[in-house]
Amino acid sequence: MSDTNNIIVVTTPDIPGKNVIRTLGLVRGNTIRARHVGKDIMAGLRNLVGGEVTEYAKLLSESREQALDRMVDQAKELGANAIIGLQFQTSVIMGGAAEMMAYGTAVVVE
Amino acid sequence: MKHDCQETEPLISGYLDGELTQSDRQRVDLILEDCEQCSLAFAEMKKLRKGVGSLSFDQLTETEKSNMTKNATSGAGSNLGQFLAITGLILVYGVGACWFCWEVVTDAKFVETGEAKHKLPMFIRLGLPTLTGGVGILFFTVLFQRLKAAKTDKYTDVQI
Amino acid sequence: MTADSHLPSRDELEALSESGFALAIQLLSRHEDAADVVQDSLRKLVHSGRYKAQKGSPLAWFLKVVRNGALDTLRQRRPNDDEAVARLAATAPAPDIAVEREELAGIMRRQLEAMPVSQREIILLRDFHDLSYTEIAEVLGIAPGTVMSRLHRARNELRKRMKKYLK
Repeated sequence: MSDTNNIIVVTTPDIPGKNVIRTLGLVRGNTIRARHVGKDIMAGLRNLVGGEVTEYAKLLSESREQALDRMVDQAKELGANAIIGLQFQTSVIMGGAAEMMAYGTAVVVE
Repeated sequence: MKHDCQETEPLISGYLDGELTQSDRQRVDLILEDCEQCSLAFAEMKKLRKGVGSLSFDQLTETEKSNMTKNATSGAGSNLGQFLAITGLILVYGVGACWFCWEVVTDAKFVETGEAKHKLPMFIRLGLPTLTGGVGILFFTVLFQRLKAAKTDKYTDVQI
Repeated sequence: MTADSHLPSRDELEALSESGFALAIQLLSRHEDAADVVQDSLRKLVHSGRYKAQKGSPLAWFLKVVRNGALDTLRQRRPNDDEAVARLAATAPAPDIAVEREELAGIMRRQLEAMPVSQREIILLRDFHDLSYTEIAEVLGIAPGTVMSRLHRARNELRKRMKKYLK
């Protein structure tokens, strides 16, 4: 994981206890990931028996983390130390893949 | 016995753990008899060691333990299954495509319809193998890219 | 591909899971995270089929896998998580551990948790898990000769923190 050690990421419009002193603009990260065909077959079979499709659940988590990391990297380049108003977004581009975009507003807080 | 207390300290630690050589052990024995500072260090470290050794930490419950051991041995089958399925796909699609193209190029008799044997049009006889060849090359490109990227992919261990 | 015929027995697995969990919880503080790491490590142990073929001690190899898993989990924790965990660790201990809170043990545990992970782990590997220097070197992936000095530095740090309580 990239060292997100210095950047606070929140979904709220502000961070209680800290003040936004500068707004640096929109930052975003996105990715589309797929798992190999063996996992796809297993996922398809789970359709027959039911229950959590862990292969795709993990896929979503991977995409989420990668999108977040890319967004944070962009914020770091702008010189931000926090991201507020984080949102996630998915689109459908291919089957059996998890598309994830994370976006928020990069700010400087103190 | 002349010695630098700072230098001897690590040896005292090793002495406590019984990890010193015979000669070092004897050295430390002598030092501990004489030097007050070193003896103090030894006593303090011994107390700490005992303290740490007797700490109690959160433990797994019995059910957790038995579930864990059960889960550890159960997943072996799915790996084998995936491996076989993928091998099967490679055989059917990969080798099958090669076989199909070969038949098409050499215009084998299997394309007979009715009484007269219709020759496949040239554009199919050439186009299909080219298409298959191209896709095959792309597949291997993608495969090697994936294998290379998998070494540095930091997201494979992400928890759900 | 499939599990080797040299499968560890249920008892061996349970014993390993106990030691592994102790190390994992010492590094991660959170019960569920530690349990996940141990589960993953057990699965790796079984699927690698290397259990009986170990020339070293199987416990050391297993603890190495657990440690790597725990460090990965630590790396994935976001800063907000760390604050929450630190707060958790500082408050409500488990009921049966609460008794020793005022005693040396409780203070020692808190000091250990406050120390950096690299120092905490080597002290615990030696004094809690009773591993030899060679085994510790295997778990940490360092040269055996460096274990003594590293361990000593960590012990000194703990000594400094516990100075006033040691009298």
